This record gives sequence, C-alpha cells and structure tokens, in this order.
Amino acid sequence: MKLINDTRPLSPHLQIYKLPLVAILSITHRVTGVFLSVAICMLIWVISLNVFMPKLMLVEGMFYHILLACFLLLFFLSMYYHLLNGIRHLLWDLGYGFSLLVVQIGNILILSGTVLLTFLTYYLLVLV
Amino acid sequence: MKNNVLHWWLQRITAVSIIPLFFFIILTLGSDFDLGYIKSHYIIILLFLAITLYHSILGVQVICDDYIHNKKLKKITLLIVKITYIVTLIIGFISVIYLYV
Repeated sequence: MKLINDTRPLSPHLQIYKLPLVAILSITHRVTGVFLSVAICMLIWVISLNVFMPKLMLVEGMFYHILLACFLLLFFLSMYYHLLNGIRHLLWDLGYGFSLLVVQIGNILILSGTVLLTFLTYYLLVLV
Repeated sequence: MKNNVLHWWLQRITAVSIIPLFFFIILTLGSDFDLGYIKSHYIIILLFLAITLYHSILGVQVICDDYIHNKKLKKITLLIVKITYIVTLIIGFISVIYLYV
C-alpha cells in the first residue's frame, strides 16, 4: 500500500547501508561479466572486419588510438578481475573460504592481482 | 528456466576451461601480433571463442532471470542476445577458417 508521502527506503537499502567490500566486489563481478560479454562480441566483429578488409588496419592501430586504448585497458582490467573473482567463487563452491579473514585476504588478492596481471599483460603485449 | 543443475555445472565447467585457454593466448600472443597468429593457433582461438560465448550466454540468462520480470520480455531479450551471439560466433569462425585456408 503505497501512500503519497512514503519515502521509506526499500531493500537493499543502498541509500543508507554501507556495503562491505566483498558485496561491492560481488556486484562488480556481475557488471564486468556484462561488459566482457559486450566487449568480446565487439572485439570479434572488429577482428573479423580486419580479416576481410585489412586496409582499414583496425587491429594494428588498436593500441595507438586513445579511445580504443582505453577500451582495451578496461577490457583487460575487467577480464582479469572477473577471472580472479570467478576463481574465488569456485573456491566458495568447493566450500572453502567463508571465514571473514579469508574473505578479506581474498579481496586484497583479487584487487591487487587484477592490477598486476593487467600490467603484466601490457608489458608482454606492448612493451616487449 | 529448465534444467538448473546442468546450467550450474556448465557455467563452472566452461569457466574452468576458459582459464588455461585465455592465459595460453596471452602468453603466446607476443608484441608482434598479426593475422598470422590466428592462422597458426586457430584451434585454441576457435575453442576460446565458442566456450567464452557459451559461458557468457549462461551468465546473461541469470541476469535476465534476476532483472526482467515480464516473462515475454525476458524470452524476447534472451532470444535476441542468443541470436547476436550465434551470428558473432559464425562470423568469428568464418574469419578464422578463412585465414586458415
């Protein structure tokens, strides 16, 4: 029964509840999943376009155009984040890692691992 | 959505399968990546494309179940996404085969 002056917050109470980090990472896992789905489709289309029309030089120029470089950076960050958090989900499925300490260690490992792996990838693909 | 247990298992199995494929591609890509790489690694790339897109559609099914409450709209959205993925997969396969031949 919704009255006109009813401004009470609705679950999950995002206006008043400070979510723990693991909850923020959980929704980020879903967001990165959606972004990766769209990005992988776009990458397949761009690479296929490059195969059939090589004169456009789409793939070779990908790291040098600023917007495409940002897109690729987001793609790699999302990919590694989704991968590492996915591994944590698999460990949860096996029944391991529900204690608060392990979860907090896992948060740090996942966030730092994401940045580290992205740096390593760029080192391997761009600088070497 | 029918057959939820199979969906759960397939999501995990595809997820685990993607991990080595992705790392293999990243490690063997190198800085001088060109279309010849696709020609020499076509099997890994085809596997990666197919398994990734399948894992992705499994996830999109969960998202549609969670956020779209109208049954008809949910079915239509899922159908559109599935068709997009099938078209993308076919285009990817055609490109890789075209480079291989």
